Amino acid sequence: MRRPITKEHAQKIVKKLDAKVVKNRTAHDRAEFYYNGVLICTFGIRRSSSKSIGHGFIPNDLHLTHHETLDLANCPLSLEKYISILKEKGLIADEPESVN
Amino acid sequence: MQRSRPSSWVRAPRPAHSRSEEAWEISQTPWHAETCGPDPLSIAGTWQASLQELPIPNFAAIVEARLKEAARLASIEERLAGLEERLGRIEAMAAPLSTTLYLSTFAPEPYSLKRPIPIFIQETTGGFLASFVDANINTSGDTQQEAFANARELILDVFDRLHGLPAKKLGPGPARQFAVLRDFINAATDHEGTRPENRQEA
Repeated sequence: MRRPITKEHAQKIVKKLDAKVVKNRTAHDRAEFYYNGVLICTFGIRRSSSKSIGHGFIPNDLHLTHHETLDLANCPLSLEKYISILKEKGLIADEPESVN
Repeated sequence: MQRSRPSSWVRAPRPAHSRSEEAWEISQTPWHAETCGPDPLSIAGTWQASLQELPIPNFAAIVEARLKEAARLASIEERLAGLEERLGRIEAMAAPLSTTLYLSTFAPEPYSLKRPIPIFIQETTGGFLASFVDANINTSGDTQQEAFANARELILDVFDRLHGLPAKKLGPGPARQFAVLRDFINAATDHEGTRPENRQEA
């Protein structure tokens, strides 16, 4: 059985990506990841107080596999490597135009 | 000169009786029933008769039946273990509970739909995932209904959020998301959203 992605993982990813957390009307906050001022992706964080609550939707939001998402949270996958994965998938332009 | 034997010298004691002699003597000793209980030899005459009364002829049959029963139980246990393993494999391979529901209205929110939005709901460990796959909008809930309701709210939140950002600030993923959402949703004309007047098209 796969190891679940939890709120704790989501919070680690927020910190690693230096994502901006936006409160909204749903039961989830949204974390927005910007690269050079451009919004690249967003992902939800459930508001439940339980740190073990499932966040199985995050891999799709981050354009990663389940395993890669856990690696991103637990350090084996660095921010630089994540950015290179997104570039390979065409989700970040190779030479992004800086927008400030 | 002949030496005389010392007075302290004595002959060695006579060897004890052989075992057969001892047994014979014991057998001849009167049995004291009051101190030793019933004489075991006194029932010797009835022992063979008692043995014949025991179900000795069925003993082999009983043992055989019990061995057969043990073998049958072992076979059942083996088959049960095999079935459990097989069930585990089937459960592991089985697709989780999933369904697609269609979102047909945002009422009472002031948005209208051009066409229903398919929300794919899938059961996962400890809850349900809800996804608008085309727009890569994903959320979850403890129940199917909660996941669907969260997806409904999230779609509007993402739509508003992307609507409120200048097009040049949207990366390829969010730009594609917004394009898909615009295919499904009419922005509310009377909605006091964050839509900027001078927004550039994505």
